[in-house]
Amino acid sequence: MTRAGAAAFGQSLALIALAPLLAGLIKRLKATLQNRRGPDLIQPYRDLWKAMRKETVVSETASWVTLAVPYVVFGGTAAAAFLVPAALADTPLGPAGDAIALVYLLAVPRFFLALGGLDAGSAFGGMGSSREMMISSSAEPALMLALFAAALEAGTTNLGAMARRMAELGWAGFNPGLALAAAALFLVALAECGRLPVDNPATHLELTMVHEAMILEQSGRGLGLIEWAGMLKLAIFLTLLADLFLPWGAALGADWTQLGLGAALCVLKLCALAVAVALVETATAKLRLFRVPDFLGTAFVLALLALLSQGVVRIGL
Amino acid sequence: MTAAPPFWIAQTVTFLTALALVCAFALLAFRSLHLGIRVYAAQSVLLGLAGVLLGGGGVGMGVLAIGLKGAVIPWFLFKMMEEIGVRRESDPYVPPALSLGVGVALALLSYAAFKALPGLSPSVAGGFALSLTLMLLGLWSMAVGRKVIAQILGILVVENGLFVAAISTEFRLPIFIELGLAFDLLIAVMVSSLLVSRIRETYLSIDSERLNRLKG
Repeated sequence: MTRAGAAAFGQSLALIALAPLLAGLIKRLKATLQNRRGPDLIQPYRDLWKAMRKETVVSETASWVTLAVPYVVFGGTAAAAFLVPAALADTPLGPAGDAIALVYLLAVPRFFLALGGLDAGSAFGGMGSSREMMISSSAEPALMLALFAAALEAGTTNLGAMARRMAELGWAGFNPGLALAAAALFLVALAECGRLPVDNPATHLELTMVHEAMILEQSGRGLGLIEWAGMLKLAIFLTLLADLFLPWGAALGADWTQLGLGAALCVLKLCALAVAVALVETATAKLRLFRVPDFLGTAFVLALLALLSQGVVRIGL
Repeated sequence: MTAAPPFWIAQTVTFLTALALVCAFALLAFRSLHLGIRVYAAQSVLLGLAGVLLGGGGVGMGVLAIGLKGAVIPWFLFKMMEEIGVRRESDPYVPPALSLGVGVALALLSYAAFKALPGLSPSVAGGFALSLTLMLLGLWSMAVGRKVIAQILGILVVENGLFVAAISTEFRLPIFIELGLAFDLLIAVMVSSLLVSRIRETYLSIDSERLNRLKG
């Protein structure tokens, strides 16, 4: 294997391994913003370790679906991580899949999570599944359009090539279309990862929860895997934002200086995005469920404007 | 004919004006009147900065826009809202998602209209199209707004559209006309806020819907 291939492979593994750290960072930043002390940065690892060691308890009414869900969810999300460029503008699965494959790889876990919510037959699970489907059916079009806006800029839907194009653009990368698409993708990321204006990740209040309701029946290793997949999903979205929509970044070649610089810039951008997420989560209250379509409708219109301004209308003077 | 501005200025101006367009859409999306006023202030500041960056006659216009439309008028509107103690929700006649869709259609319409006009340089055509878009969006938010304050914000956005048209031409507007326009705007906001408090006194609400009813 060449060094570039190894680096591309390594960055995806690092993304999977470091995703809990990013989640811990956001938690810590939120706590600081709210004048609390907050947990350690590595607390998510401890939580995962605790869940992994515990015995799995499954409801008597559950079928094999409940047992399969954690593995499918983690597998799908991890496979998606291998399509995302981070420090290097290349991906290990680049020849096999593009932005569209990424969207569908993220849709498989969601489908199975919803199935898992329904499987055990508890009332909360079904409620969570139905809400999740409602949210994701309006989030997915916006996600697609935002990615297409970046793909139009690069002239390809290959994620590695898109990151390369963005890294080459430099100052010219600050164009209205990409900025609008970035804003849309940020809103979609908040909705898809169950962050605050849409779903509160820190609560188990029955009436409001979405993601937590679906995994109520999971325990032990399964629960750990699903939570890890959730953190990984957030990391994937933020990395996409950092690499496809913020100029300068991903290394173009695989020599050590470029790789180091790419990794440093990537970490810097992810930290900035983590601050943005923490700020949003501190400043906003949870939306009523029936306001969520408005929220995602805004994301959709932003993405649509972005797409239009990449092609039909050049917005601005 | 002045020389074309350097690349980074042209790009920043494009960026600022695009953000101003996003502000006009945000006005349609938000349900809170307070946020609406802030968004209007942000839009005015963005356009003012664009004017300043373009240089020439744009500097005076830009500074005036930032000072007056970015600070004085929003402050005045906030004060008025505090005085009449209005509920903060704007509940428009049309749900925001649909309203945004119509907004996109209006934007496409105005861009198509200026694309069809022969003999305009692309940058001027873009500026005029943006200006027409802002005007149409302002009119649309006036049409769907239930509270009278939404109508005031709508007409202010229409005026911002005029500002875009003015800075996108080479010769800009003479500073006297711009001063006249600015004070016109200030007087208009003052008069309309007086009107709002009269409406509030007479009808105990600022829903424009109720104005259809005769009242002795």
